[in-house]
Amino acid sequence: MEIDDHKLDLVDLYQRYNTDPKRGLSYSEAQKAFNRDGPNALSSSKTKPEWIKFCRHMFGYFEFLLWIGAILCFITHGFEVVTYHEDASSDNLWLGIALIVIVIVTGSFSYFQDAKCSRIVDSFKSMVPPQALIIRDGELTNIRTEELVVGDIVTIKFGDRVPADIRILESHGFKVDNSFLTGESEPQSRSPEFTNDNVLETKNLAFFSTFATDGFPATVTICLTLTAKRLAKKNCLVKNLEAVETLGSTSIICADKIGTLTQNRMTVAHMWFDNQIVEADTSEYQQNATYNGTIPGWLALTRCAILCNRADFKQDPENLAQPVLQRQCYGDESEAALLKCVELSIGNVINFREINRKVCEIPFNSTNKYQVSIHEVYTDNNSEVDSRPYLLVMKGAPEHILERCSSIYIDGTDVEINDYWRNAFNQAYMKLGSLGERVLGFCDLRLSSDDHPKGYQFNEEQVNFPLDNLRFLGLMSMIDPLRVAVPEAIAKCRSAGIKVIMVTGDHPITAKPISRAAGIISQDTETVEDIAERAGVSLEEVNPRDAKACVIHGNDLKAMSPAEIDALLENHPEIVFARTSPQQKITVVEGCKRQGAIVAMIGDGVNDLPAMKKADIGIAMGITGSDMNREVADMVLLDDNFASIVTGVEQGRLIFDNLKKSIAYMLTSNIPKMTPFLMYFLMGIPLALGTSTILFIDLLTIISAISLVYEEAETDIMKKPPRNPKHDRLVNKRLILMTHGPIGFIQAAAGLFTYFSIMAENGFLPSRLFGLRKSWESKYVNDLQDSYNREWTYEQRKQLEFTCQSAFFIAIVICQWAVLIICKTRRNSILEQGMKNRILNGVLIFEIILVAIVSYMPCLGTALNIYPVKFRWWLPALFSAFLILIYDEVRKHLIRQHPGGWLERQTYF
Amino acid sequence: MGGRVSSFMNALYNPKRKQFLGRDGAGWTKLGVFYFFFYLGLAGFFCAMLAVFMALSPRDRPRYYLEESRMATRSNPLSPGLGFRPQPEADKNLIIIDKNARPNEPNVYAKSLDQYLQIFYWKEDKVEKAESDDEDDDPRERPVPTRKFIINKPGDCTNATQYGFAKGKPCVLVKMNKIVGFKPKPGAPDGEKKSYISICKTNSTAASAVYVHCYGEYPADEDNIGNITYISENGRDTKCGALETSWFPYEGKINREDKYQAPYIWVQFNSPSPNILINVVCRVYGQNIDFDKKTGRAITRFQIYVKDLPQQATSRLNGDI
Repeated sequence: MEIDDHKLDLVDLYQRYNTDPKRGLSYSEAQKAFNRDGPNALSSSKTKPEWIKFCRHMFGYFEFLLWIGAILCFITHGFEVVTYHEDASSDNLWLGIALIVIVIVTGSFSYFQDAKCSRIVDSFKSMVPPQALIIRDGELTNIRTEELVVGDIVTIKFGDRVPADIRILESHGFKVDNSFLTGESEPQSRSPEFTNDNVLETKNLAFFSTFATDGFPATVTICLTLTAKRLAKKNCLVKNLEAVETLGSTSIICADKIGTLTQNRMTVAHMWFDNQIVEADTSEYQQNATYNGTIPGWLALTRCAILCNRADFKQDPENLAQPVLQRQCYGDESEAALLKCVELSIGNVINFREINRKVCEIPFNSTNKYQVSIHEVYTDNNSEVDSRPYLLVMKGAPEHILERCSSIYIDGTDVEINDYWRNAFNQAYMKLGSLGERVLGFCDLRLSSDDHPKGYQFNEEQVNFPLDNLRFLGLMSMIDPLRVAVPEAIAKCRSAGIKVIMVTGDHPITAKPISRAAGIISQDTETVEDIAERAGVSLEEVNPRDAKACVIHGNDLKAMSPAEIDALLENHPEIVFARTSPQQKITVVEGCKRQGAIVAMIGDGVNDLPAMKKADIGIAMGITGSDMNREVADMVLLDDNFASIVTGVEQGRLIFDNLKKSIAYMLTSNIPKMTPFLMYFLMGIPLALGTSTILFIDLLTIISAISLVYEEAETDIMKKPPRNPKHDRLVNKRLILMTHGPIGFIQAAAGLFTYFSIMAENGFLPSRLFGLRKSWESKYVNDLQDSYNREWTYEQRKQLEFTCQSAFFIAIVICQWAVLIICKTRRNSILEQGMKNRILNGVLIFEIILVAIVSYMPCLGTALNIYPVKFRWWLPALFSAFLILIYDEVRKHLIRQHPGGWLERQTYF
Repeated sequence: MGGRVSSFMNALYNPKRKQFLGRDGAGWTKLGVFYFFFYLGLAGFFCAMLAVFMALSPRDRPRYYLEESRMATRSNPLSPGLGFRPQPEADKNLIIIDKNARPNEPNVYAKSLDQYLQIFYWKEDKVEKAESDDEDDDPRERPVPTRKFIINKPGDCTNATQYGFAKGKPCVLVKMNKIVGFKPKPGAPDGEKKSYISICKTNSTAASAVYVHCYGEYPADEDNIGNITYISENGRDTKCGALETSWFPYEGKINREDKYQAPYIWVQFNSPSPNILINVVCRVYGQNIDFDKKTGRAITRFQIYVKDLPQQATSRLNGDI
């Protein structure tokens, strides 16, 4: 298909698509185009048909083995039929059928689980739909990217995903990441100019970015999905399932400040007027006011804040119906804060602005560092209006504002500024700055009608009005308040052994008070500066080792060698990195990783992106975070609630613990399963456990092991340090020793005791059994003598053998019952943990019922060679199960009594 | 690669910290002591429990016998199998008769039969006098004289003629399995009475014995099996051998000793076809003896092979080898 959209003149382009750069498409046209072209999405790659997915579960590696086993069974049976005709035994036939049933049951189970999992995962994806900001019918609106149509005018800002293939009409420093299209790893700059015939090369096109998403591996483990689902309920969206586990072992969390720890919602905190600092009242009904609302100094300050302010509430009724503090605003953050503050205290801001009409304005820019506007004054006093018809209001960086002032408004009178007032100003400015607040200065001037009569043409270009010798009014300081749950969450991370590091682009002076408030630097620890200030000595005299906390400036970080960074991270448990560039954020993350830590990076801005990618797990804010952040993150906090991270860590640890428990449980049946074979081969004792019974044990083991995944967390889960990924593996020496050692052998003992007893009761005393294998297994020996010289035919002694095997099987199942209960906890007593895991309880009951059915139901037993067992032969196993419970409770009790003791080091897995 | 090997070796033995598999000597010792005592305790407990169980077990007959024992299940009624001798190896049921062997040459089958008879039938009664003056003795403890089973006219089936093996007319010992408490009833199961009468030419219920009949398993075997003589306790017959029911039931050991001698018959194959494998099935008939070929109830199976190659052929064959 030939594309010439990039070659056309813009006017022709507008015509072609019936659109307008200012007004965009009309809704009706957009609807028409949507109906014609369909949604703006890539036609999704062909999804595999369900039956193929089903087959994949039916013929996986393990399933394949079982199929082969079943086929071999049938072939053997076929040969037997050919050889012995009607005499052929049907054992192999039944075994084959049993195998197939098992494959089909487990295959369907995993298929349905997988289908469920992928449904959940899909639902996750739709939870953060990419959106685009477009102009339609002259209005800016947010729509989902699928609803974009050809001709829509799209606005894109830093960090946004390009929502469609677009022609650029206007741009400033626009760069796009085209790496997935062209392989260029550097961002490519884009601008309205047509530079190349090739659509990929020309600068005036940008393309729909689809990050190549592989999707999740076919076998999504159930437990990861379960946890992800659990987390999603708490508004913590897991995009990458492995992230759950990573979060659990996280030992360092690097958090960006703005928008992550703080609300990214500026609020006026303090004001300085009449030479006093007062706390601003931002409560809804102004019940906290600490100042008189009729003081002229305050009124003048607020008038300036109202007029010299471009922020406005979004004018839809829904927004206006909300409490002031939650309303959405157009305009700059600080101005919105001022707007909200004055709306709360004075009210009717919009009306006031309308009365005092703006006639001229110089907006804020970084060279001026001020903002000026001139208003027609409306008062009841006509003579005053006539004499001084205009008011000039200015706000900006306090020191710059003060420079332009010659007088200061104190207690209702204008006082000339002298050193005393400059000093007072400086103290107030420093004080507010040290609280980490953003300070603005305000001043005004009533223009006299002599120079500026009514109807005077103000011109912002020529500045035909005075900007000096103004009247200073006061200061207002704003703060981005901490998110409510942050201090608590950070304290929880602390107690869970996780170090929280602040990495912010903010100034150290702003960062430090916030980090103190958040608890990143705790109340009783000091930085080098604090010590110096307290002791009244210079910075050089303080031993840096005395300071547990430190605030590092980005420039200092740049000068540090990796070794110095390592030392820094090692020696200071509480660190704040301020004024860091994106590159330096990476340096911090790398430094943490060098320490062997698992690092989580939480951020909301594009400047956090590289560090998020570098970290073991990147976490994005769902509301304040940019599209790119959400795209790159492994996890998204949908409600921006920092406390969700604590839940995430807990769930991650829980999953690891539970997997460990599952594995421990599964391993315990190895020894009792192996012992009969060892005794068969080494001591010639007739086989105490058959293949079909082993198959049954494995089946039950798998089901039970899965139920452990639903186990609740132990009480110490958030009180222990994060696991060391190098030493504390999922399966470690202690786990293997523990499961194969005591527990395994108690089970084996129970099974063997039952086996020997049944053999003895039926005439084969243990002494007779040793070395009996050859005769026992010989079909030609039809008269095998037992200890009482009774003689057994082959079939008769096989019946006995199968009975013994059934009893051994039942013994293991009963012991595994106890093992399942002890595996519920690793440290706590089971009495403390309780039996609240309903699925596990269900499994316990199911197991017993299944065993009873298999053992006592006539036809089934014959088919699987499982024979009924007298109830008394359940008793040794019941006793052993009891023994296992006691043994493990005692072990756990001793571990709790002697933390870090020998038993813990050797047996705590 | 070298790094991997060295790191593996390091994991195996770390000379710096004197650790073998991640534990130093003291660590291993402590762990060893812990597990030693744990397993010692477990094994001790296991053995003690087993010993207690054994001590409580009956001495002369198993706790479960007849239908109570696992010999019988829901689908398989209690019914004795048959046994045959000689069976020098447990995993074979083939009896080879070498017609060309010299008569005094040792024969494994004859030796096996010798041993069998020696163990179970040449028992000496304990001399009662030795302990008779001890009056306090529990009468049950006193030795009971054994009722000896003897075949009156064994014919060829003696040690002297290597049980017929030297003559190429092998005698095979066939007996019924000993089952504590089981007494066979003469006759045949319902539905088989007619064929039983035609086979054994004996009227069922009147007789005092259960009868054993041997035949070729497949038609070809029937052709090759030739004449059979059944040598029973009280006579010879060409149709069936008799096991007198007066020998039954087996009541278990007496004072832990097996005093019981089970009846048996000799089945002598007078003219088995040479150089061909013959599958033989022997079956016992009794009213309460259930027959099932597949599960081996009431039967025993063995194979006989008579080697009768001309001398020359043998030597030529040997030469080839």
